[in-house]
Amino acid sequence: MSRGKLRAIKKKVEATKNLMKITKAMEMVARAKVRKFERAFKAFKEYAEEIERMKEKILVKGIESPLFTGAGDTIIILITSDLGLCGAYNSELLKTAEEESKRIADFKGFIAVGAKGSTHFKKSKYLIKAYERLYDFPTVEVSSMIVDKVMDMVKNDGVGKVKVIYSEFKNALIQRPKVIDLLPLKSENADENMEFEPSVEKMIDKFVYFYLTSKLQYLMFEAKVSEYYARQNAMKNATDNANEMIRTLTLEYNKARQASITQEIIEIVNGAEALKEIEEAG
Amino acid sequence: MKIKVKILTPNGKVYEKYGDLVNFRTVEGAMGVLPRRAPIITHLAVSDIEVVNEGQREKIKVAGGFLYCDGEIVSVVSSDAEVVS
Repeated sequence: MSRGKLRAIKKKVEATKNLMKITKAMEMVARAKVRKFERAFKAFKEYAEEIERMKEKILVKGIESPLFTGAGDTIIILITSDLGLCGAYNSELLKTAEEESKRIADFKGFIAVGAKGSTHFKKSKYLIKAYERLYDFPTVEVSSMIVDKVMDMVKNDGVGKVKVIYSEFKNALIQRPKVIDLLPLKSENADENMEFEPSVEKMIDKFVYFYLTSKLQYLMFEAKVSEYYARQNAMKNATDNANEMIRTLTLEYNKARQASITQEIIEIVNGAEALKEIEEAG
Repeated sequence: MKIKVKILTPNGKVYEKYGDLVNFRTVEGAMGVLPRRAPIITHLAVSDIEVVNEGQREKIKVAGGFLYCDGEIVSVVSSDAEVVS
């Protein structure tokens, strides 16, 4: 066994150790951040659910607007992350987006929120608008910016249906891509006796805008929580794998070292034997 | 019978108490609701919501938003709100 091989293994071990330090640090960062996001998400959830309940009560029958009829083309808002190193999080979302866009007959294009989505569809003719590195913490300013764009397209470009693809947060280990309809608005159990102040016609545009921004912000929040859990899991796996690799490499290194020592001893003993034989003969 | 008042913002619940009367301002003018009122949804102006409970008045500033009342609960969603007194 040569010295060169020993050195090579040692180098590999060092490199893996350094990599492990990085993945471990990233895991810890993700863990700290996910707690912060989860707390904020919980507070926001109550607010968003109340708005959702209100939406259910608002009577939308008889209002002629593409917001309710859904007449027009379909666009997809794709929420991905800005950064990588979060396992299959982005690739699963992109796969779902590709499949979904092929399934829709009147598909017009994507609005990509997050750098991963916009990079993937950069060369495709379907990318309408890309928002990259816009936020870490979803705010109402960010969601209203996107809703402004959507409303503009509904008014001027004949868009009637809007879908959102984001990562649904099931639990700490499972995050799945999900497709939901943002527009047209549907209200199944609208209350016929509901009063409105001002009248529903005057209020509806404001309410729809309010509803859409809060809904989108909610989805962006959920996507962020999923992202950080995905990253935490991916980095934990990477750290575990690095640990395993260091163990195997160290074993290999020790074996090689042992073998080279044994080899040397054999050489010395053989040399000594040979000398003895020469002396005896002489 | 009292009416429950709940005020929610993106940062969480700001206020949750019972009252006898709730006064507020919509974009078209002032209104008040009592318990057992018929269901209503209103668009709020940037103003104060006043909750009266046994003569005690409490004021909560809201940055617009929407109010829903079903006769038992008044729930307000607003981008920002703060209890004044």
